[in-house]
Amino acid sequence: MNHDDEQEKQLRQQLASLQVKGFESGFFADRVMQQLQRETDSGFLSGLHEELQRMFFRVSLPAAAFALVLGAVNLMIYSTPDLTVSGFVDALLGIRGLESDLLFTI
Amino acid sequence: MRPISNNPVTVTSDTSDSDLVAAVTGGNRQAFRLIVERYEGAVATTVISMLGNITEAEDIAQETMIQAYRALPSYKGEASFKTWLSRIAVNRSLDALRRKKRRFLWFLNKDDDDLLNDVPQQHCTNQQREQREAIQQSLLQLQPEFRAVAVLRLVQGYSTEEAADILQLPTGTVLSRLARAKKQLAAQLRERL
Repeated sequence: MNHDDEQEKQLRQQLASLQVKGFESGFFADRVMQQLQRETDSGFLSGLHEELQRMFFRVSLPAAAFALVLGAVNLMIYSTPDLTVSGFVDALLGIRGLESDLLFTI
Repeated sequence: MRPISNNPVTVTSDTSDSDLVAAVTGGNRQAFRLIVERYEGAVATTVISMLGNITEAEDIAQETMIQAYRALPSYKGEASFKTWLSRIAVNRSLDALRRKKRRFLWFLNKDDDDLLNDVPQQHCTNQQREQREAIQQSLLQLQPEFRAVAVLRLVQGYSTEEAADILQLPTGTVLSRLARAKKQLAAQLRERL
């Protein structure tokens, strides 16, 4: 056995005292499992939040775009040179020129 | 043997690592508890030797286990589970040491002086306790990269190849770091013991 091996053997024997079987608290596994549960719960909630947000954008963005296009088409069809503010809103909604009776029917 | 029966696949403390890993990835969370219990000692030895501070070591050990749980689907079994887990524990410890160095450089020595009273010392006589403190203190004097090699090779008893695999370093680098660590440790221990 050379000097290096002897030195390593001696060091190993000395450092062996640093080996432990676990943490002294004795609840390490409980602690890990609780943390895992907490992370799973918060992960589930943030996942749900993200999913709801995604659904909202998936529905509301196309709906908003559709409303914009519809308003633009209505404006092109119903706008006249003498357009007032209320007339503009009517034109935007596509109800310009409709009688109140008919509006109630709609 | 402690059977855990409230899960689709029954696992016991005798179940092999690969079966436990398969059970965990299959959704059996209690199988992970058995993994934690099985490797608590190995992880505790690594992180306590690396960090010294028992409170911080327990936090890092917990992070190690949580990271291992998340990474389990990527564990392919090329290395032994203990080696794989040790890699996570060492990397976590090195990260913690880097963070600590960055943030509290001037508090580091003070912390290190206090930390050894916390290290588990079941059934130790005063002399054993002093000797152990001296050994741990000597280890903590090493730079983290050298300490990691010393912990894996000299405390945990991994081979040079395994240590190289854990640290993802060439074998030659591990050998040169080990030689330097041994020299420093021997000098430190001669002074302290």
